[in-house]
Amino acid sequence: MPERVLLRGGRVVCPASGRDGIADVRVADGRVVAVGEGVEADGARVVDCRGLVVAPGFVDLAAELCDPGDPSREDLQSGSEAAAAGGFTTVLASPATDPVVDTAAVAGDVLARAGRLPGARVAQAGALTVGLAGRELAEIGLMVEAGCSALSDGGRPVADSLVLRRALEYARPFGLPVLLRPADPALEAEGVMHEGPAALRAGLRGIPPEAEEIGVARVLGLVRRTGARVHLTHVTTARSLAMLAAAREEGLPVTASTPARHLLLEDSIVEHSGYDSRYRLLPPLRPAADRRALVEAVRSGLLDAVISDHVPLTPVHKELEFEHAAPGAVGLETALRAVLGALDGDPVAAVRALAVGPAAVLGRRAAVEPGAVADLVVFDPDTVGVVGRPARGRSANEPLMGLALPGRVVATLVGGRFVVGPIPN
Amino acid sequence: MVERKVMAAPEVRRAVARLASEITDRLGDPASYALVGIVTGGQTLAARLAAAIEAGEGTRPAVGSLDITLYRDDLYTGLEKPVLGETRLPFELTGTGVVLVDDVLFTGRTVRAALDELMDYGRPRWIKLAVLVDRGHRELPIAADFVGREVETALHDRVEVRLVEHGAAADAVVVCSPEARP
Amino acid sequence: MIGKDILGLRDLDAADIHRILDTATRFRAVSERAIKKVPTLRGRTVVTAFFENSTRTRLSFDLAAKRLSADVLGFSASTSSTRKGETLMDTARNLDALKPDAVIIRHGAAGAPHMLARAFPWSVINAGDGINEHPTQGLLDLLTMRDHLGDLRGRRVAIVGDVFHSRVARSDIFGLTKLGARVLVAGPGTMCPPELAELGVELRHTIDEVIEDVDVVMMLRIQRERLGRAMMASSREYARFYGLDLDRLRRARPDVLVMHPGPINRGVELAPEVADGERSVILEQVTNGLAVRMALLYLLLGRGAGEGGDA
Repeated sequence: MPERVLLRGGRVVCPASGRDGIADVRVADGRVVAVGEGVEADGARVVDCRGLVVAPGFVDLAAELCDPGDPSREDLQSGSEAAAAGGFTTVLASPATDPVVDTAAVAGDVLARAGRLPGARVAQAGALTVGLAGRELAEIGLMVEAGCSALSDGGRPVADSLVLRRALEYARPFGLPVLLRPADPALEAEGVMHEGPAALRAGLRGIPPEAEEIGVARVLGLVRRTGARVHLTHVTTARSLAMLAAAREEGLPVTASTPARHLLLEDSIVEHSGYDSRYRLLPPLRPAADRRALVEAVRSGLLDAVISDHVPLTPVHKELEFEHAAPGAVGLETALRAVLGALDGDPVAAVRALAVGPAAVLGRRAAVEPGAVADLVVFDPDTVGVVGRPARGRSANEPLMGLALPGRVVATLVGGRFVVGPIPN
Repeated sequence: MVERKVMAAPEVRRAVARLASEITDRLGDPASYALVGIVTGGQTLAARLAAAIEAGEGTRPAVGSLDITLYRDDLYTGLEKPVLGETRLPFELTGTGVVLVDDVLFTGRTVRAALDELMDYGRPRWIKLAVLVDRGHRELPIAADFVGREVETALHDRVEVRLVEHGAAADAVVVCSPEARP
Repeated sequence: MIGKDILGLRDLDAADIHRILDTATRFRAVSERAIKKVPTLRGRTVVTAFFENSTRTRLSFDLAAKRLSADVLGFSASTSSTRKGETLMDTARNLDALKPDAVIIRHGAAGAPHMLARAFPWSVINAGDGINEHPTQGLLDLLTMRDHLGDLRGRRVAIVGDVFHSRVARSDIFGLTKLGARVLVAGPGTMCPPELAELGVELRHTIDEVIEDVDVVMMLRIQRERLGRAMMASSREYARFYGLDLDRLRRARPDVLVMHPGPINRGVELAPEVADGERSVILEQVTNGLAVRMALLYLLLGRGAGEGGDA
C-alpha cells in the first residue's frame, strides 16, 4: 500500500520545473502532493533528507533484462531490483530476449508480469524487425496495442538501409519513438576495441570510430527522409556529436544518449587491466578526447540522456579471452555514480540526463511537483565509495568495480512506495 | 652488526704465500695441474695464487673460473636471481688435476655445486680444495686440502673477504656478527 | 623490473632487456659444452600449452626447459579442445591442478597469457598471443642484433612485411625502440597503416625505400592462409615490391644483417640465395632463441617459492 511520507529538508532538484533548493516533499496516495518550505507532516512518516538530493526517479532506455530467456543472467524481478538500487524507477526493457519481443503475445506476457515487481517499473520496447534480424517488419501496431513504450532492435543496427527506411516510415504514425544504435555492422565486425593507438599497443584488432559515425549519418539521413522520431542510443564519438548537433540545428526530430560508463572510462584501460574482458564493450570505450566531448555534451544537453546500457553476462560469456568474450556490461546499479564521477558531482546535470531527458524520449515528464506520480529518488551526491560487486543484479560484469566514485542511492520510491530505502516495506 | 677484523693485509699476503708454497710442495710441477677459482672471491684468489706460484717456480699453472650459480641448491629463496658469472676453463679438463680455490669454506654446499659442475665439463684426474678461510659449520662431508687460516665463527656470522681487486682499500678478512658477543 | 611473468616487451624497460640478454649469453655457453645440461631447475615443472600449431618455438622451449633439468609437460590443445567446449580458463584450472611452476602459452587471442597470469600463481611466458606479442622472439632478435652491432642506440632496423598483424614485429618494435634503435617499417598499405607511427617507427612503402640505409633488415613471413579478407593481391606482386632478392641486397650496406623469424616462404618474402647467403643470420636467431628461453626460465622460475639455504 502506498505510504504517506514527508521527505524533509532535502535539496529538491527538478530541472523540469526549474526548482533547485532545499524543500520538503509530501507524498500521499502514490503522488506528490506538496513541495515547498515548511510543509506540514499531516500524519505522514517523516524522513530526514538533509544533505541529500531529492529528484524525479531515473528512467533507463537501454537495459537487457533477459526475460524471457535467460534467468541466469537476469530476469524481470532481479532487473527491477537492480534498477531500483541504482535510483531508477522505470526501465525500458530491450526486446533482445529469447524469444524476442517481436509479437504482441511476448510483449503482453512480459507486461503482465511487470505489474508485480519489487523494484522499478518495467516498460517494454518492441522489436522493429522480426527476430531482430533486420529483414522483415515486426507487428509494430499490435505491440503498440499490447502496451509497448518504444521500438528498437535491441542495440542491433538494422543493416539493410532499405529495411530501416521502411521500418521508420511504418512506425512513425504509431507514434512511438524508435531507438537505434548507430553502426555499420561490417566495419565493426572484425574489431574488439576502439581502433587507435591503444588498440595498436594492445595488439587487438580495432573497430574504427567511423563504424559508429557512418551509422549516425545513415540514421540522420533516413530521419530527414521519413520524419520518424528517432532516439540514437550509444553515441560515443566527438564526430557523432558534431553530426547530432547539426541535425538538431536543422530541426530533425532526433534525440540521443550515451552509456554512463563511456563518460568515465577510456580505451587505454584494456591494456592496463591486462585485457580484462569486463572492458569488452560495444560500442567500445573511446580515447580521452571523445570521452571529454561526451561529458561536455551531457553538460550542454546535446546528449538528452545517459543510459545504463545494462547487459548482464555470466562467466560463460565473460570468463574468456578478451576477443572471444561477449561485449557488454551491467550498469543499472552504477549509472548514477558514473555520471556523478564524470560530471564532478553535479546533481542537476545528472538528474537531467538520467531522469528528465530519457523520460521525455518516452513522452513522459519526470518532475517533483504536486500531482506528479511519486517516482522519486533520494541520493547522496558527495560521499565517495569504492564500487563493489553488483548487489541486486544477477551478473557481475561490472567494469566500474574497484573505482572510487561519488554518489549513493539512499532511497527509491515507486508510486509513493519505498522500494529501496530507509523504511523497508 | 659488529665487525671483527681477523686478518689484515699483511696476514692475507702471508696466507696466500703459504698456500702457494704448500700447493707447490705437495703438487710439484705447476704445469701438471690447474687452479680453478669459484666466482667471484675464489677467482681473484686463484689469480693471486697463480702469480705467487709463478714467482717461486718460474711456471704459471693454468687458471680457470667456475660460476656455480646454476648448480646451487638455494636458488629458490624468493629473491631476485643472481647475475650469472662466467665459467671459463681454458685448458683440457679431462686428465688434469684441479685445485678448486674459494675464499671462504662454510657449509660445503658451494664446493658440492662446484664439484658437480666440474664433472659436467669433463673428467679431471683429481680435485683438491684450497681456501683462504675455513670458518667451520660444515653441512656436508667436505674438507679443504689447503687452508690459509681457520677462523672461529658463530653460525649466523658473516665472513667477508675484502680484496683490493674488488674495490677494498686494503685486503682484510672481517667477521660480521648480528649482535655483540658476550 | 622482471616480475612473475613475461607477457611482452611492452612491459619491460631497457635494463630488464639487457639483463635478460646478458643472462642468455651465459646460457649460450652451456649449450656449447659436452654435457649440455645443468641441474638448475631440477624438480620444477614446466608446461608448454600451445593452442596454435608451432613446431620450432615449442621445440625450443622444450629443449630450454630440459637443459635446465625441469620436467616438461607438453599440453597439446590445438583449437580442438576449445571446440569441444572447454574454455581456456577451464583448461588452465586443470593445468593448475598439476602444480606447474611455469606455463608457456601460445594462443590465437591477444591477452590470453595475461588472463592466466592474473588468475594463477605460476609464471606465464607468452609464446605468442594473437597479433599482440611474441616476446621471446623479440628478445632473440635483439640478442642477435646486439651480438653483431653492440650498442643498438642509433642503429637503423627495417621491418618489412605484414607489420600490423605480426606479433614478432610488435615485440621487435617495442624492444628496439626501448634500446634506442630507429625502426623503419615497409609493406603493403593494408599491413603497414599510417597509425603504426604511434609506436615510434618511421613508415615507408616498398623495400627499395629502406634497403640502402639500414643495419638490419627483418623480413616477416607472409601467411596468405591466415590473412583476412582483401589484404593483398598476389605473391608475385608481393615479391616485386616487398621481397628481398640478391639485386636488392647488393644495394644494401655490405655488413647488413638479414633476419627472418621463420619459417621462410622462399621466393616470396625472401629469395633462397639471400636466405642461405652470408648476410643471413637466421640460424643464429634459432640458437639465440634457445639461450633466451633458458634465461627467462632461469630468471622467472621459483621466485617466491622460498625454502631458504646458504653457501
